Amino acid sequence: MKKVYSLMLALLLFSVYAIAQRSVSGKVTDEKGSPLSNVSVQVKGTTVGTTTSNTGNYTLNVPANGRTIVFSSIDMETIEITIGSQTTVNASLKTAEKALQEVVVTGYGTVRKKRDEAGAISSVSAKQIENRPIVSLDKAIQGAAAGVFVQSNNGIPGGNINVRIRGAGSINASNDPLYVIDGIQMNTRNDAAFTQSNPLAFLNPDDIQSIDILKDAASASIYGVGAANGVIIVTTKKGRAGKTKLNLNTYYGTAKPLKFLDVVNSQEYYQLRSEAYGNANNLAANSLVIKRTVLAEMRVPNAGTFTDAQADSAATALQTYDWQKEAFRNGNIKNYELGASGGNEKSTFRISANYMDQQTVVTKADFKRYGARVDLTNKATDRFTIGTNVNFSSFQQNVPFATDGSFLGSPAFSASGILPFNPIYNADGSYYGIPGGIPANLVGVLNQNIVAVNDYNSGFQRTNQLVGGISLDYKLRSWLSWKIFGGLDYRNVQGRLVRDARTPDAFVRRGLTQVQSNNNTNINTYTTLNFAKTFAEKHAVDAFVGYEYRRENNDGFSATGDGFPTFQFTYLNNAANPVSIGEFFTGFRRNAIFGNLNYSFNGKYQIGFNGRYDGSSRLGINNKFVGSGGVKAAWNIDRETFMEGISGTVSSLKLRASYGSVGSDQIGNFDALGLFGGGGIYNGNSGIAYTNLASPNLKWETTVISNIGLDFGLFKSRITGAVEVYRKTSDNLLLNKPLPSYSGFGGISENVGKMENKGVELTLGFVPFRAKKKGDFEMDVNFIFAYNKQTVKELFGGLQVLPGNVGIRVGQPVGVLFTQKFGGVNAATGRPLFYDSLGNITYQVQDRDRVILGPTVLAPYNGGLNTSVRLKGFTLDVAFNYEYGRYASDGQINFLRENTGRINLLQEAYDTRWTTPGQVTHYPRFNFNATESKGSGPGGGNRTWFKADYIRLRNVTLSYEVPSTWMSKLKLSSARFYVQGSNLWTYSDWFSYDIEFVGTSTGIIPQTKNYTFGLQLGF
Amino acid sequence: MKNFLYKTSLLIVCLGMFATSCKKQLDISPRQSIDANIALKTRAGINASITAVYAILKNARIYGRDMITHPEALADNGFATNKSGRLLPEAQNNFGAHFTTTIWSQCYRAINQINLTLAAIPTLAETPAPTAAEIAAWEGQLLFLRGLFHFILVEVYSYMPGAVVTAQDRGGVIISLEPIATGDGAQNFKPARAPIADVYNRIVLDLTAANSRLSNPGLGVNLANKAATQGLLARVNLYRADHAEAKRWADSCITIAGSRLTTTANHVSNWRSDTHAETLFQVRFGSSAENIGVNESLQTSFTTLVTAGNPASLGGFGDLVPTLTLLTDLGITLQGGMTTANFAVNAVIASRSTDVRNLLFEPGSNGRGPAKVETTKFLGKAGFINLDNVPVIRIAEVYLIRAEAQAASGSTVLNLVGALADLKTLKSRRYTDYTGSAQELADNTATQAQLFEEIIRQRRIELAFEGHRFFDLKRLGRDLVKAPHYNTVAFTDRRILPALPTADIDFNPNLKQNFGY
Repeated sequence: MKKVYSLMLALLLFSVYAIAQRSVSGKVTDEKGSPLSNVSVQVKGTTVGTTTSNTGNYTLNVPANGRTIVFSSIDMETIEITIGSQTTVNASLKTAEKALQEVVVTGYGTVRKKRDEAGAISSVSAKQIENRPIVSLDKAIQGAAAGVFVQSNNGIPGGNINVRIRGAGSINASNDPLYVIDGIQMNTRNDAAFTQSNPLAFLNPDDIQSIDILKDAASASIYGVGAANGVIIVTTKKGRAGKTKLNLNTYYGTAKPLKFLDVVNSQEYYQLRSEAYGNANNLAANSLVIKRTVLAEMRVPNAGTFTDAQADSAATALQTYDWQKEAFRNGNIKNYELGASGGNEKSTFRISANYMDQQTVVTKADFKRYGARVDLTNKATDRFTIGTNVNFSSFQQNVPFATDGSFLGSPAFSASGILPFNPIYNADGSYYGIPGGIPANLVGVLNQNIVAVNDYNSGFQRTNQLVGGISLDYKLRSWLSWKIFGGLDYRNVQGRLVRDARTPDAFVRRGLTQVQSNNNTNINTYTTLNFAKTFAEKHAVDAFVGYEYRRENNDGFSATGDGFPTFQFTYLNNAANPVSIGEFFTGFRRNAIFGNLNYSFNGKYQIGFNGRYDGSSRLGINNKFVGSGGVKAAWNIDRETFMEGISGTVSSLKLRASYGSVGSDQIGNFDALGLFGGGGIYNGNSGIAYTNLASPNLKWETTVISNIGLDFGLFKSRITGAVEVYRKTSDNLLLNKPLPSYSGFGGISENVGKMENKGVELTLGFVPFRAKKKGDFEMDVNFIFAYNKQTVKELFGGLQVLPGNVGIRVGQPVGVLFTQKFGGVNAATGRPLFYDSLGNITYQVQDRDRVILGPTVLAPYNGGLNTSVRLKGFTLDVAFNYEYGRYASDGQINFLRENTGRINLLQEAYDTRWTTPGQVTHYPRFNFNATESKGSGPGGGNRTWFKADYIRLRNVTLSYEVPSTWMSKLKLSSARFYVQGSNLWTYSDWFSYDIEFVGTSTGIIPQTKNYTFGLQLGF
Repeated sequence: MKNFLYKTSLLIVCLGMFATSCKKQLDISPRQSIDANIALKTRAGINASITAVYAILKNARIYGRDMITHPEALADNGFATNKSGRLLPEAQNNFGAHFTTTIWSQCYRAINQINLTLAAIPTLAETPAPTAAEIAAWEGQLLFLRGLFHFILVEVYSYMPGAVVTAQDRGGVIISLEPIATGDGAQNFKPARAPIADVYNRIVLDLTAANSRLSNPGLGVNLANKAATQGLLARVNLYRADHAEAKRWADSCITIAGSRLTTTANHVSNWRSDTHAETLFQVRFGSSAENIGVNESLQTSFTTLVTAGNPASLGGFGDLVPTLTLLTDLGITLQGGMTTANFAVNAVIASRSTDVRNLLFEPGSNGRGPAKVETTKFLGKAGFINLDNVPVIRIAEVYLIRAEAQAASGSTVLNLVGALADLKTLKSRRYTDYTGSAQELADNTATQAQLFEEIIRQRRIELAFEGHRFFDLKRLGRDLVKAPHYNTVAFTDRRILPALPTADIDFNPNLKQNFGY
């Protein structure tokens, strides 16, 4: 690096300053003659510039060699005026045709006009995501870009978000896209031990200017082995030359449960539990011995000696307690942001700070973030520009009992399933049923007082993150520049989990504390040589070549202890037993050379090339290096002369095609090495065992994407849109290839198998009402649709099914539902029936009766609908998203639909259960033993799988912009008020808390319905 | 232009500096693992590798839980309380509910590590070189363990010699003796299941070789030792109905193990201590880091109690408890009589026989549903709740083996007097009033069949909840009679044997799946 700096310095010495200059002034107006403020006025080819005042006037010192002045402003067409010797230059700017102004970011700091770009790139603007009570940017793009499938794992603020661009190409390797924030390739692995801490939550989404998503390989290949799953490029807001602007942005609101589950009351529970005992023992549910047994189980005193009459009156007298109401609450949402930006022709800056406090319905998942950003750019000389941006943030989350799973002490899991006659509090207000009390627990499998457990347990997960970069830009010639970039993404994750000595899980061991610390250092550096020149006014060429190095080190420490003197002591130095300690290290290294070349002829025909050659430490010793690349071309048909006649109808038309290939190394850091590691402890000694088989020939997985797109605008852009079709083929999949388990090994990382994703993406925009003047009624609607078909094309050794995983089969999507079909309930006996391989109904099914039923992981159809309506100062924004075509099984509901009565039951299951011969229903009879003798379990087959289709009203915002005439009186430059609602309505017949989840929803903290009120002030 | 050329060439030089040493930039090594090629080149490496093999025994699918719980649940000893839902499918003998494929994969993982270690011992280049005694101790342990792991596999996955449903017999298990250390080696290893007899022969060969290398008392009961090896040889030979060899090894084992049988006075206290005095070999669970925990440890599987005699304090789930028939054999009578109705409600013990072994059974907590009579053999004896050493073989079993070998029909060493003597040696240490009792009189006058049945009944009582019952019924070819709780499973039913991992069958066309799967 040192050499680079000294070289930089040497280059500075060559720069030359212009000396002579003169003063030019003038006024800038719009088409109607109204003055325009804040227009950038610049001498072409120099950094000399200023902005217009509130009255539209400017004064500029033009160097002697200055020949042309450039006037530019957001939403206006840029014009250039050649100056002679005059000292007054006025300009009139026209409102720009929006489509022509749009730009996309294509990687390594390159910004290109969307018109000139041939790749498949979706853009999401700041306006689409700002001021939403969302903590991380990945969640914000849900339903906003075609072909980008976003699912929340759960409702934990800062929880994991699943993002898939154009399906998923890998079976074992990661399918996550690469995130590049202001040039830094981010580490997005969740290293939190006690809750989910989404690394992207470090960035306040309101600091984002734009998000560009590279979907095709020809575009993404510039980022090489990290980019096979697409690239999400995030550009933050920058300062602009002009008067310093202050912005205050705040919102406040509440988070409510989406819904409560309708579960049975104590009398109904008594009835169903009696049926369960009766059916298991061939006794009538209302026989006295069963009444006594059930009432005794429910801890009714003296139940063992009850008469029929006594038992009946005891059952009637049972109380019902609503555990869900007690476990879930309404959370508060608070967000404050303060920003300042401005600068002059030499330097621009933007600084911002934010504080976010987002509570959710379970107290132990609250999220708080403190963040600050600084962005500075300085033109040191005409040729030399230095820039930096630094983001520091610290976010802290409370630690829930568990992020998911069937943990007895987890309120999210147990609240709906605790037997309803269990009281929550004793008469004196203390917690009922806690260890040491009388009784010491609740009745039933879910025997923990979760309200007490949630109250007593504590812990936090804190992520401190520093993300920053510095860039040096040197103009060697007007058409050639050299850039050096160095970036750091440093993250420290600290966590602490305390199982309180008063709770059942830690009562006997007298308290349990676990701590963790994890440091991740991700360093990115690159240098590029950038070229841009137009030859003979027709041949525009831009290109860059570069070199990159990335390294990541991760080390962690953890410790666990138990046996604390009293519950007030929770720090490990008071622990009697050090239960375990752990330490680990991992990391990877990558380097690459890369290049990009674009050529455009007359603005009509474009062609672009990407090439890259990567080295990766993850790959086998014999295959460390991999090439990626692609070609893309576009034809702006609307610029052809034969289109001139119909330009009123067809305002824009462009045909694009691309083809590219990207290698991927998205596997474990040391998967290619033959290793001996920890082999457990025995008899006080620590062992070593073969932990990983060597795979010296392990190479990259290759993803090839071909893409054809058509962009169009009709009737003066009243209708705009893009249609895109693609085929993505992933070959030499990085698979943890299963080995026969009798060999002593579970698997080996090898390149085997092939996968295909193909699909169609459609983006359509309508402007049914367009404002003629400001404040008129305006409306626009955007519709997004994506279809993706994922198919496993090939495994290995001719196998049609991956050994050990029936969900991975040739010809089907990954995770395809392959099981027996539920055949209803035998009306005569109440026992569950299934279809066998011959289509006959049977009580007991076998493996051979399984059939292919449909996809479970990725929904083949998804998208969104966004609409915006404006009148006077009012704006109403409405955003929907939808998913269609996937099956899911909801673990939480499966527990609540069991047929044994060991936990509480959904009202639906109770109302439809089989009770009498002849009854036709889908819900089998109750049976204490769950599975009927010589029958398959009631949870078997596809009985618990349902279509997971939904449409969700993701966001509604009504805002009011205070008219500028009032602003001056208030000494404000802008003021905006808004009310907003998230997840207000969902079209879905899903039983459980939330239809949106990944995997199983057992015990997840569900998403919430949010209402916020906000205020944005500009000074 | 000159200027420009200068700058450009500088730039190229600079980029060149970046690009040199491209390959070196990619260097990074793991830090909590080491290269497999050097791992077993040292004395310490060999010791650590052997430690890891023992550690596999602790897996919850082997002696951590399943090898103890499943023989009780699958057979007629265990009733599943459904307090956590665990072990209910096994107790009901639901199709597919059996030993899981993990026991298969973990045993073979251990065996391969044994083979790798055995192969590495002669290649050690340490100074000073390993002594003959060191090598004997290493090989002795490894051969003992290889015999034990093959034995676990064959008793779980195959019929036993002498009790084979021929039409449904798919053979023994894979015998693995060669180390596998590469992906190709693993993929090309496509053996068939060896015949049952061959597997038993191999086990006996390994154990006999271990016996000649191990010493007594040697490394203690937590590790392989001579007495345990001989006890295991007695068991293996009994399982393959080689009564003469069973007796021979039992004789030798009892001689070298010395007088370890507990008495009526100290039987219960031995079950309360960390290590039972009768233990020949146990799987050690020594520190809280090794704790299997509240869901699957033996303590939580078998009892809701934290300490004996204190049902007010609720511990684990108590998923598997004695059936009515086992309670009857134990000499425990429930209040109201031995009916399912009385069994369903909170259990109260009305009376006990003079058998001290039933003192290891008592009513648990009613905190998770009606209290049941539960076993307290596993009660956090290693110092923490849910942490217990797991006896694999006790001397009492060796006495019962010797008795059975001499009383079994068709035994080549038939000796009813000898069998009776062993039975009485044990019973006089279990029943407080045995000597001179009517029971003793009955034993003295028993026919061969009656004597044999009494030995089997004593095995059920003595070894209850120690993981024997299912294997005993299986090797005798008996139906699993589970009344009054569950339906009987005939010995010819496919559910007697579990399924081999389907993935392995898919890989290896030579490997036959068990009947009915």
